[in-house]
Amino acid sequence: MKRPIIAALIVGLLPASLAWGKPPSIGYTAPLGVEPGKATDVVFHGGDLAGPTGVWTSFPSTAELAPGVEKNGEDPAAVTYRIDVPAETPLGVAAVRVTTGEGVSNVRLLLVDDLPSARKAGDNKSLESAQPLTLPVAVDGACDAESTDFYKFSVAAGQRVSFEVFARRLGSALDPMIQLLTADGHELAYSDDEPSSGADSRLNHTFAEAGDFYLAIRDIRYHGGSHHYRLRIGDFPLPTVPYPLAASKGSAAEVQVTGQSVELAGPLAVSMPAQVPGDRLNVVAGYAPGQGSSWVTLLATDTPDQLEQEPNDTPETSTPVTLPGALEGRFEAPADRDYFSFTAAKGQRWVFRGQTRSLGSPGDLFMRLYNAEGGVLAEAQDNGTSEGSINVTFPADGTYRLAVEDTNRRGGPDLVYRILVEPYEPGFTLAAAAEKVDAPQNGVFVVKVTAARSDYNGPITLSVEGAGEGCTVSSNVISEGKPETTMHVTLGSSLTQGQLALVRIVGQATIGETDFRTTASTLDALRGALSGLPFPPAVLDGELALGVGPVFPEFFQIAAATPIVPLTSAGATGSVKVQVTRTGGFEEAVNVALEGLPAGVTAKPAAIAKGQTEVAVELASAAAIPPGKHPIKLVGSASFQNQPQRFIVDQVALEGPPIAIAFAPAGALPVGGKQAGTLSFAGELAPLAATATYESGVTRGADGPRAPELPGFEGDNTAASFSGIDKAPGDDRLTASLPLTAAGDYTLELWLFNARDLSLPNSPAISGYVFSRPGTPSAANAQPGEHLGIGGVESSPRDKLFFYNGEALVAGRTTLAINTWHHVALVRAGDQLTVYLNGETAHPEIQATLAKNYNANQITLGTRSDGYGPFQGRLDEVVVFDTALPPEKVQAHFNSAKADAPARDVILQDQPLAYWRLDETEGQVATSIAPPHKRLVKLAWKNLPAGLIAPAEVVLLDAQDKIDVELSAAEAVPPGKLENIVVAGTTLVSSGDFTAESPPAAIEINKP
Amino acid sequence: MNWQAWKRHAGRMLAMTLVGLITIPSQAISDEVEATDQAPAHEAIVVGTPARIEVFPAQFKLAAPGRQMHLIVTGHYADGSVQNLTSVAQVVSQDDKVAAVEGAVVHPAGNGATGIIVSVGGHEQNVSVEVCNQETADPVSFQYGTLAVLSKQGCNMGACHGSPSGKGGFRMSLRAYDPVLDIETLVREAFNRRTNLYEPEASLLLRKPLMEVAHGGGRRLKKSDPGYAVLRDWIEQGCQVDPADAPTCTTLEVYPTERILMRPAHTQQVVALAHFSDGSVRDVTALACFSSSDEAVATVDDDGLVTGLDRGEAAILVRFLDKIETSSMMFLKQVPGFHWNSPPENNFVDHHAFKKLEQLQILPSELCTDEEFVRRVYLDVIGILPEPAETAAFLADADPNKRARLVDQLLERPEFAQFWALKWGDLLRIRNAKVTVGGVHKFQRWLVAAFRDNMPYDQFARDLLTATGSTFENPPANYYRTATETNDCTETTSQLFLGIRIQCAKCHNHPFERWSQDNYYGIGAFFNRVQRKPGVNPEEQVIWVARAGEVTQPRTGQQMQPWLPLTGTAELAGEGDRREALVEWLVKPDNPFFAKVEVNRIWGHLFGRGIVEPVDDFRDSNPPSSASLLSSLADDFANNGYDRRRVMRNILNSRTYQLSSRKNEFNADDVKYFSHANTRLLSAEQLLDAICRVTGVAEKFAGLPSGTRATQLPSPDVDIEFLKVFGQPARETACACERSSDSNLSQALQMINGPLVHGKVRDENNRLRAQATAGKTDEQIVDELYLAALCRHASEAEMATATAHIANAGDRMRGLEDVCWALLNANEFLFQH
Repeated sequence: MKRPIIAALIVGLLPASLAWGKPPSIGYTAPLGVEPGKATDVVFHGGDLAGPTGVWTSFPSTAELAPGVEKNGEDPAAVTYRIDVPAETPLGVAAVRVTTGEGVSNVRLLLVDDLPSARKAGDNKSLESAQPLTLPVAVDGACDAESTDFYKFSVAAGQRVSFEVFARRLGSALDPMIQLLTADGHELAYSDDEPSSGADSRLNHTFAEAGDFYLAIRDIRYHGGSHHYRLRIGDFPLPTVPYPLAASKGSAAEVQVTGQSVELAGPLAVSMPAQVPGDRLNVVAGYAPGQGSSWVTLLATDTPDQLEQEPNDTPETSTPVTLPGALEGRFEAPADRDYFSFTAAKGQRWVFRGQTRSLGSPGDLFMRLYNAEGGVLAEAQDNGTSEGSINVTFPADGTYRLAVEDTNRRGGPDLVYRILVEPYEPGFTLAAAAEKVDAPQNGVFVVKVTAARSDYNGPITLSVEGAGEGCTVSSNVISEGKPETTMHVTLGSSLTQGQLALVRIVGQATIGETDFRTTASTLDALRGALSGLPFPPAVLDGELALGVGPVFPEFFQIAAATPIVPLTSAGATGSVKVQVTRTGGFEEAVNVALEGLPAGVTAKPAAIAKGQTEVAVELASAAAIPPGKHPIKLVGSASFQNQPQRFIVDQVALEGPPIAIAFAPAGALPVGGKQAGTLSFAGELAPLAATATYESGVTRGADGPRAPELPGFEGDNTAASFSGIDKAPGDDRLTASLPLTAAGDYTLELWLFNARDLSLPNSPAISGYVFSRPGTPSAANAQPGEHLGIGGVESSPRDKLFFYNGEALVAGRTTLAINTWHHVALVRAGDQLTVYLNGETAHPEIQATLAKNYNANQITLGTRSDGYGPFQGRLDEVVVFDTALPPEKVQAHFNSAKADAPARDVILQDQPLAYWRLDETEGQVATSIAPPHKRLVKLAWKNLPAGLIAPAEVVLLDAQDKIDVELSAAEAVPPGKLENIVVAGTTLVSSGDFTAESPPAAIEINKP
Repeated sequence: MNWQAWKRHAGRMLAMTLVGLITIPSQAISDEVEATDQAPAHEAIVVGTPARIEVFPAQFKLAAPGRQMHLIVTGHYADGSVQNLTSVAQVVSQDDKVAAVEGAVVHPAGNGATGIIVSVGGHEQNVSVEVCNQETADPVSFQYGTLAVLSKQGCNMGACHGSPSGKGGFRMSLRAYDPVLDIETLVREAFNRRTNLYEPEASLLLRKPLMEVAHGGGRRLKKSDPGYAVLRDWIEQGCQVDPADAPTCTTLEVYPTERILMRPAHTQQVVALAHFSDGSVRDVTALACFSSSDEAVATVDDDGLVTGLDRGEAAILVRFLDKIETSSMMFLKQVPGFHWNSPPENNFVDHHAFKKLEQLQILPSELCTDEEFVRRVYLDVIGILPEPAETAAFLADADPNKRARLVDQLLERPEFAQFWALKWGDLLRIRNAKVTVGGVHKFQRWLVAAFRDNMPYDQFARDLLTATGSTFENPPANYYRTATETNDCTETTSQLFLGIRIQCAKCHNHPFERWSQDNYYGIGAFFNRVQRKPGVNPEEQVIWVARAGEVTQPRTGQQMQPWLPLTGTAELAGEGDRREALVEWLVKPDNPFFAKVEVNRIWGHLFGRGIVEPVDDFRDSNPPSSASLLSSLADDFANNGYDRRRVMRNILNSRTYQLSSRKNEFNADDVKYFSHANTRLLSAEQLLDAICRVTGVAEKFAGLPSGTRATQLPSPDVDIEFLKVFGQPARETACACERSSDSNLSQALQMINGPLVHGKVRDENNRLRAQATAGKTDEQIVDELYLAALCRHASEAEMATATAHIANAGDRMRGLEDVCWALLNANEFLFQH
C-alpha cells in the first residue's frame, strides 16, 4: 500500500466520514406463514434491506425477488421475495434471514402453515369495527399499544373451531390473550398463557348456536408496536405433545397426541427419517383437509427410549430399565409417581437430565434417586430453562430406583417427560454470544464464547467451521480457569460480498486422554434475538449466520513528517514523527511501528493515542549503520469495528554516515617490524570540489585582473576585496580546507592587488598577510606555519612581500606598487621555499631554505591563520597545487594571463587541488573550478599501544575505496593480540568534516 | 386496653420519658398519673329489691398462704335485670381463724373450713371456703407472681422496658413473653443492682418504681400495692426461678363473661381466676390487667371494677400474662321520649340490626329517597354514578320492587366485577413492582373473572392459598409472589382470611390479643414449604411446594408444628402440601373467622364501617357492634355456597342499607350501630370516575386503552396525582387500612382549582358543551348536570340560582362551567350518602 507521504495531501484523499453500510435487519415478515406447495410473496419489513442478495430459509425453498413490486430491492424498509415452498415441507415453526451486500439479517421465525393467510385490516379496534373473516384462515397482524384487535366470523350451530395464536413462539414481543365473545360482548371463552405454548394463547370452542361471533386479541399488558401475531382459526386439534416424545431415526413409530380438542381416531403413524434437521420432526395432525392442521414435535434419537409401564407408582412396581439410556413416562393423574428400577455398579457416575418443556411438555419434573433400601441418594427439579438434573456416583453395585413426579403433583395426559441418562464425563459446554455475525470481505468478525465447565479447568481451543477457505482465528483459547474469550475470526478468501455462510464454533480440549470436542450453542443468543423465546427451534442451535459485507473501507492514513532520519554513528538516536489522518468516525489509537530497520537499529513501539494526531517513533542505533540511505517502512495499525487495518508508508529512510571506514591488517605484525593493512572506505567517496569560505567582511565584485591589461582574463573579471581593518580574528578573510597532506609539497598561486597606503597615519606594522598555512604551535614557536605577507611601517619590509614561519622572516625585494595587480606564486619543495612575483622565475622574489613546519590542510587568505595582520586590497585567481610547481610552470601560468587565450585553461591543465576565481557575488562559498580528484583522510587510531605506529593520513585518488597502509611496531611493543583497534577517519564531506569510526579490528603482534 | 387507650397511655409514657430526660421534678408528673389513673367517680348503687342474689364463686379453696378470693355479688330483679351488688353487700366470715374478710375479698387465716355469709337487699347467701396448707411456705412464683406484677404495673409494656431496646438500659420482654430473658435482666444485669438479695428493699426493682431513685417512668408502685410485697418477697426468697415441674396456668376464667346492665345499674366487678395444671384455681384479679374496648362506653380500673358511662357495648379485656379473656358488657338506659316504631324488616339483616337498635334505644332513620338510593347503590356496587338517563328511568319507574331489581341488575354488570376486583387488588397488592406488568394484568383479569362468575368465596380462597405453578399461567399463584416469604404469607393470610393482624406475634406474644409467638410460627408452618423459582419466560415466576422444610421459632429454637387458631396443632406428616389442610379448616362453614371476615368486609364496603371495625382487625378486644348480625350474615354466607353476590343482595335489599343519612334525635350520636347511612367521601377512583361521568370527559391512563375508568385500574402504577391525593393505596400492604380516607387540604385544592377538574370543566368536548351544541336550554343543561352529579333534579331554588348565574355571567359557557364546577365541589357530590 503506497500512499503519498505528505499529510496535507492525504487529508484530501480521505473523506471526513464514510457512510458505511449496515447489515439488514428484519422486524417482521408479512405474511407470517408460507404454504407448502405454493409460492408466497413474503414482505420482509425492517431496515437496510436495499440491495438484497438472497433469502435463507431453514427449510428447502427457492426464492427470488418478487416481480411486480415497485422498486423491489431498492427500498431499505422492505423487500419482497417470492418464496416457493415444496409441497412436502413439514408444517411448523421455521426461520428466515435476508442477505444484502452489507451482511445478513437477524433471524425471524414464521410458520410453514397449511392455512391461507389474511392480513389484519388495522381499523378493527372495537367490537363494532371488527374485521370479518372467512374460516378457516390465519390472520397476520400486530397489536397496537393500549388497544385490542377484534375479528368477526360466522359459525353454524354445533361447529367446532380452534383458535391459536402464534406470537411468542415466533419470537414476537406479544404476550397475547384471546377472548371469544358474543355480539353483546359476553365472554364465551378465554385463553391467556396456555401451558406448553410458550405463553401463547389457544382455545377450542364448539358453538351451540349459529351466528356471528367475535375473537378479541391483545397484549395482556396492553403493550404494542412490533407485537406481531399469526392467529390461526379453523377446525384442527390443539395438541400439546406426542407420547412418546421421541422416536429413533430410521424407524416407524406410533405416537399419541394429547392436548385440547385432540379428537383423533387413534395414534399417529410416524416414519422417522434417518436424518432429521435439528433432530426434530413435526408430526402433523388434522381433522379434515382444508380446515388446517396442527403439529407436535417429535425428538429423533439414535436409540429407542424406554417407556414407563403403569402401574409403576410404588417401588415394588418399578418399571425395570437398562441404563444409561433414555426414559419416558407421563403423569396420568394428579400425584402420579413413576418408579424406574435399574442396576448400576459401584463407582459409575451418571447424569440424569430431565426434559419436559424443551420438548413441549408442560411438566415440571421432580426426580429422586433411591438406593435399594429406599434411602434417598439425590433429588432434583427444574428451574427456569434448566429442566433438572441429577449427577450421581453410585456407592455400590446394586439396584437403584428413580422416582419421578410433577413438582406440583399435577396429572394429565400431556404431562409427559423424558429423562436422558448418560455416563458423566468431565468437559464443558460452550455458548456463543451471537446468532449471527457480519464481516467485511476478507475481514474479521468477533464473537464471545463462554464456557460452562464441569470438572475440567484447562484451556479450551476454539476453531471455526464454515468461515471460508483459509480463514484464521485469534484470541481463540479460553485460558485455564477462565470462562470466556472473545474470538476474532478472519474470513477466508472464498467468501465474497453478499454471501451467507453458516458457521459453527467448535471447542476442543484434551481431557485426560480424551479428545473432547463440542459445538458452541447459540440458543441463548437466539433467545435474545427472539424476545426471550425460551426454546428456539432446535434446528437453529449451533449455527451462526455469517453475512459478508464489502471490503472494509480505509479508516486512517499515516504520514511521516520526518522522512529522513540520520543515524551517523554507533549510539546515535533519532526519531520519526508520524502524523495520522482518521476518517469514518474512527477515533481510536493507531499503533505505529517501523519495519525493515538495518541491523543494530531499534525502534520503540509507539501509538498515536485517541485524540492525538501525531507521535514520534524513537530510534536508536547500537552500531554504526552503513553509509547512505536505508529505506524502511512505517507501519500504522489500528482496529475499527473489530476490523484490523494496516497502512504502510515506505518513503522513509534512515541515513547512515557519509563515509564509513574499516581497517583490516594483512597479517600479524612482527615486533620491530612492519605489516601492511588495508583501509576500506565506503560512502561518499567522490572527491569534493574544494570550497573556500568568505568570512564576514570580504566584499565581492571589485575589478579583478582583467583584459585588456591581462587579456587571459575576461574584461569583467572580478575579485574579492579585503578591508584590512583589524577586526575580530577570523573576519575579512577566506578560509579553505584542502586535501593537502601534512608535510607534502605544494604551490600557491594568486593575483594580488595591494591597496594599503602606508603613508597614511596609523598604518600597521604589518601591511597584511595574504596567505597562511599553520603548523602546530609549540613553546618555541607560537606561530608555526607558512605565512606570506606584505610588510608594514615597522620592522618589516615596507610594501614588500615577506615570508614568515614563526621563527624566521624572509623579505622580498620588490616594493609592490599600490593598487596594481601582481601575480604571486609560493612554491614549497622540500626545504626549499620560493616565492615568485609576476612570473619572474629567473629571479625569485623570495628564496629560502626553511624546514617545513606546517601540518594543517587549512589555508587562510587575507589574514594570518590566527587572524592577525589583515590584508587591505584584492585577491583573485587563487590556485593551490599539492605539488611544487617548477618555475617554468609558474612562468607559463603568469604568461597565460597576458596571452590572449583563457589563462585558466592553461592552469587547470596542471590539475590544481583548487582554483577559486572569487567571482561569486554573493554567498559565503567560493567554489573551485578545478575538477576534484583527491580526498584526504586524517586517521586517528585508538587503542594502539605505545610504539605501534600507524599512518595519520591517507589521500584517496578519485573515488578510491581501498588503500594500503603500513603499521610498524617498535621493539618495545609486547606481543599479543590487540582486539579493539579502531581507526577514526576524518575527511571532508558535503556538510563539512566528518569523522567515521571503523569497527574494531584485531592485530596479532608477534615475535618475528 | 384498646388501641386508643394504649395510644394515650403510650403518649403519656413518652412524654414522661422526655420530661425525665430534662429532669423536671418527676413527682409532679407522677401525681398527674395518679390523678388520671383514678377510676371515674360513679353514682351510688341503689340496691332496690332484688328477687334473689347470687355470689360467685359459690365455694372455693385457699390452698396456700397469701391466696385470696374476690367475691362477686349479683342481684337479680323481677324484671330480669341484674345489678352488681358486690360493693354494697355485707360479707362476714363465720370463722375468723380460718378465713378473714376485707370488703368482698376473702383471705386465709388458718387451715380449716368455714362459711362466708353474704347479705344484701334482704337476701343472704352462704359461700363455703376451705383453707389449707397454711403451714407450708408458698414461695413467690417468678412466672405467675413476679412477672405478673411487672406486667400489671406496666413495667414491661411496649412504651417502657418492654420495648425492643428497653428503657434506661433495662430491657424486659414485652409483657413477659420471654421469662428466660427476664430472669437474666432482672437478676444478673446491671451488676445485680436491680435485685439485692441481702437488702431486698434496696433493690432498684423496687426503689425505681417507688421513685426513691429517679425513674424516667415515674411512680409505678406504692408500698401498699399487693405487687410490692410480691416483688419484695421474691427478692427476699432469693430471686428463684420456678421449678421445672411447677404447675402452669392452663386457662384464665373471667367472671362474668357477659352482662347487660340497665341504668341505674352501671358498675360491674370482674374477677379473674387462673386455672393451673395441678387443678388449683387462684384468684389473680389483683395481678391481672384490665382494659376496655370502648372507653366512651365503659371504663375499668386496675381492680377489675367496670363502670358504664354511656349506652353501648364494650369488651372488657382481662389479661394475665399470656392468657387473655374478655367480658362483654352492655350498658343500657331509658332514653326519654324514645318509642320503638317497629320499622318494617326487609330481611334478617334488618331483624338483627333493628333488634340491637331497639335494645340500645336508638331509632333508625327513615328510608332514603329513590334519588339517594340510586346514587348510593351505583357507587357501592359498580363504583360509578348512573348516567342521567339511567337515573331518570329509575326515578320514573313505578314498580314497588324497583330497588331490588336495580340491585340485581347492578350485580350482573361488568363494572361490578371490575370494581370489586379493584378492592381485592388492593388487598392482594397487585402492582407492577410486585408481580410485573404482565402479572398485574393476568392477576387482575383473574379477579375480575372471579367476581364476574361469582366464584364461591371458598373456591376463591382455595385458588389463592393453594396456588402453584407459573404466576403467568395460573394468576392466583401471584399470591405467593406478592407474599415473598413465609412470614409475609402468615401475616397476609391471617389478615385477609382470618381478620387477624398477627404481625406483632412475629417478635413477641401479641400484646393485646391471644396470639402468641408460637402461634405465629405455627401458622407459618403451613407456608414454609412454599418456594419460588424462575419460569421459562422472562419475569415469570413459578410457585412450588417443597417436600420438606420446617419453621423454627426464632426465640425458642423450637421446630413448630402447623397450628390452627382455636384448633391447635395439626398433625400433618409426609410430603404433602400443608396449605390444603389449612384451606380445609378455613373454609369449613363452622370456621369462626373465614365467613365473618368476608361478610364484614362486604358490609364495611357498603356501609363505610364494618360490623367489626377496622374490617380486618378481629379480636376479643374489638368486638362486633352486633355479634348476632355478623353471625347471621356469616352463617347465611357459609351455608349458601359462599355466594358473595347473595351476601351483597341481602345487605343491599335490607332496609338498614337503605336508611337515610339524615339523623333523628335518637340516633344522632350513633356511629356504629347502622341506624342511619354513613356519609363518607367517595374513594379516589369513584371520585375520579364521577367527575369524568359528570363532565363527560374520560381520563386517559398511561398504558391502558382509552375509556378505561379509574375503578377498572389493574394497579396504581398509572401514577395519577389526583388519585394519590384522594387516598389511592400504593398496595404495599394487605391491610384495608392502607386506603386512606382522611381529608386533607390537597384534596380541597385538587377540587377547587386542580388541573384535572379544571381541565374537564373547560374541555371543549364536555357534557355541557355537547348539550349546548345540541340546542339544550340552560335549564335543561343544569338539570342534566344535577342528574349526572347528584342523581336528582335541581330544586326550583337551585335552578333559579343557577340560571341567574348563567344569565349574569356574560359568557354562557363560562356560566355553565361555573355551575358544573360548583356541583363538583358540593358535599352532596363529593360524599356517598
